[in-house]
Amino acid sequence: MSQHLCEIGYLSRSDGSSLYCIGGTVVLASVNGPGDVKASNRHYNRTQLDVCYSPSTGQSMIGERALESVISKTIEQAIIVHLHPRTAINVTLQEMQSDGLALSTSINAACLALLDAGVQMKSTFSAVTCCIASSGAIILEPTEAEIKESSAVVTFVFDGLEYNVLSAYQDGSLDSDTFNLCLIKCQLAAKDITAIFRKTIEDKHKFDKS
Amino acid sequence: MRETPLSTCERAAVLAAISRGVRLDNRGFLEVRDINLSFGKEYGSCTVTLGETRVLAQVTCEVVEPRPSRPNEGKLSISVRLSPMAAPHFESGRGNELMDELQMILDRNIKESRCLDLEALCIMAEESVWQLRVDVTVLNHAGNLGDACNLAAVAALRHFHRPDVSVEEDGRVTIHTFEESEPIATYMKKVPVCLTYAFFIIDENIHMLMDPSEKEERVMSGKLVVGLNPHGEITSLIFPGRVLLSKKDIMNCIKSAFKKAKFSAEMIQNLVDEDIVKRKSSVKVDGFAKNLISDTVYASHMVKKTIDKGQNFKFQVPRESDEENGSLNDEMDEDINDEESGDDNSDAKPNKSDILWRIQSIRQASTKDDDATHSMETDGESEEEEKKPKLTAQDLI
Amino acid sequence: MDSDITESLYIVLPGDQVLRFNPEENRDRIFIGPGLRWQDNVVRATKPGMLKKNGKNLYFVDTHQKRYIPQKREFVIGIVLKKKGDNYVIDIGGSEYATISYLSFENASKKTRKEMKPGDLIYGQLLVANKDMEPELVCIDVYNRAVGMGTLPGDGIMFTIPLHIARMVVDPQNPFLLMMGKQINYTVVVGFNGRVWIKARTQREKVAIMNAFTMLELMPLEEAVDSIPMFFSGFSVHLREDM
Repeated sequence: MSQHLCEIGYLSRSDGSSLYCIGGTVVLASVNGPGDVKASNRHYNRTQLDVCYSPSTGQSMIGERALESVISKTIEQAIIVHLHPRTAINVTLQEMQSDGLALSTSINAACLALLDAGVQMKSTFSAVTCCIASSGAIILEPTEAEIKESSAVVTFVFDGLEYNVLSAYQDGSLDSDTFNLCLIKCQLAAKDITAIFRKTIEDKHKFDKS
Repeated sequence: MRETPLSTCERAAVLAAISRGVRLDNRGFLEVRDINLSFGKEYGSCTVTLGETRVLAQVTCEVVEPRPSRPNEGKLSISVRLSPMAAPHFESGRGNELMDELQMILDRNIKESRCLDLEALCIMAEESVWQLRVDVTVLNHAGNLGDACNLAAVAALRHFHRPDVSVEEDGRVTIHTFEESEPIATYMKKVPVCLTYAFFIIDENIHMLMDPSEKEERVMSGKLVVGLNPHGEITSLIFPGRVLLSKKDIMNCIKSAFKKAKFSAEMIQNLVDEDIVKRKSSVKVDGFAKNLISDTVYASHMVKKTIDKGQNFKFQVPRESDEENGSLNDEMDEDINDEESGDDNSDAKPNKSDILWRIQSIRQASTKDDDATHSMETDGESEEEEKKPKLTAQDLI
Repeated sequence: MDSDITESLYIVLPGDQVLRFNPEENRDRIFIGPGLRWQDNVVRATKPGMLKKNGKNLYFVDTHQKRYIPQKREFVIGIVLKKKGDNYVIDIGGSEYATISYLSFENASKKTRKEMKPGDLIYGQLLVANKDMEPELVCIDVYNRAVGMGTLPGDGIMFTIPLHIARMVVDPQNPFLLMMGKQINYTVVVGFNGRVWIKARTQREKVAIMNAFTMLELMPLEEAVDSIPMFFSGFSVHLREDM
């Protein structure tokens, strides 16, 4: 597994923010809300969730829109949307440095930022990416160069309760046995990520009397 | 999301503090917040923090066809983005006044000042040239975005290296990877610097301060954004807001800006060069992963600084009779202090540290220099002096 | 156990199981406060933070957050935005604006109505606050007395702090506030929405107090209390003579 680094309370003007690094990929996430929302996006029974992802270079294109929709659907499953009707939660993600793992780093960054903002959630969630090298070996958290060489890339997002799959995103072709193998490997890695979240939050509350 | 309204109380507090020589973050009037630059893994990616203001700039390049009117020049484009990350009330993908202003500052300072040698970006005249694209993203808006964006864009451009190319005889262009051939640095002739001065009109006095914070920007009457380079050239001058300044005052601002610009430009150059040298010698670059400092860490640094200052300061504090002379501008620019003390006007108080930094005093302090360098203005000067008291707060607010 | 004492248990993340509770089997009652949810006979956390429990079996999660969510009976500082019919529209930092009737002030009647200008600050209590309704403020208690509520004078200074710090300093016996009081004479009003209003003799003192609050976010309370004198002299604020 690549090295994970993270920090919260990154931006003074956001309600919650986090910087998450997996290997060479660095994503900055900011969460604002629950706040007011335009009448056109207002739901009478739930929170409107807006996810905005910007790549490190250039304009946001169709690829980024696709990524946004995967992230937004994942987050929507985790947060308890009906607690604050007629509000909006904005999640803004900025890729600072790219090395192939934009999706999983963004999702982990978003989770930490939501935790920092204190948004009510059913559970935490964590994402792990792996790829199948040409030799058939499964590489967890590959670099961009390794992804280019690989035959398939899979990203899984797990919840923090039973480590059930919240979403899976796949590129390339692979057989079902390999897929299951990837799933098991990623599931194990997801537990480590939840431990990182826990440590970060414990660190945030270190001055609370215990 | 909407912006939190500014209450009358907050506005009054900022103004009252300034009129007493205090800023809400305990800075001197001409004190700029801490500047910190860190570079990403790739060439041309740079984050700048100016206090809690945080800006990311990334440079990318591609080979394009040149403009027919300038067949042997490369292209340079700069774009600024303000997302809800910077402040909750910004909407993504939608422009606003602030974004237009920043775009204008950067275009004028970097593109139109021609600080970059665009001809060096030419690969084959009329056929192919390099296009450099600078993406400036504001991550945290805590005031003075103009200076921060300019700093980030300039540092990123200076840090940027483009791949080497070779042109075959038949006109085919091969782009070499960084492994095959050493990348080429961008050559920047002059480092453009941007400095912002905010003006506050309180009881008919104009107060000036540098590097306004977000709250100060919301309260200020107007500002002067000077784009310049240490070679003595002004690249842009923006003066929005409802403040009237005499020619002389603006000249004095610019003069003091030049002094700061030299320092600022050297700082960018040194930091960029230092990082590039490090890159060329060591094998692995950490990039942003280990080098970025969060606002929480910055805030605790500032608190520690104040406490340390308090520890050293404790037994020297003189007792003030009233708060009226409550400005202890020991952080004030040294040469400005020198000017002040060399001047024998009656308004200036004897104690150097008690001098309130006002436009009034800038003018008086540097009258002599001005006569020498700008003799053209001498005849208009007496007229300006008379006009001055008429520019009252009543007709401005 | 003394019912006033709140004990801190441990840090929880959303989804963590706090305890199992089946109302048909368990005889003793428990109370679930903010940040917890009871579903399928299991109580789970929904917010990250310190799980706390008081003597009356009330469990809740103390979260660090910046965004205010209005709660009934909480005291808040609002900014007057405009007048709308018989009401004023007030920004209290929540997702919706709150309203206050011009009659909800001490000694206010239809003839002597309370006049406020946009931008004024108001300290009031939330009478109505729930997810489906617009929050409503009042500046009187049940006996029609102001008890300190009403508009705040404009010569103070207002700033925001994280909500958990606000909950901490809302206690007038807080050692941090008391220690500052030993150094400087000041008046403080704390709203649960993270807004704090300060009044002191000089501008420099106001600014120093405002900045001192950041210490609470960054260090343990005891250390913050001990650092106050140094912090104030760092701001060149002159301590009271008895110090």
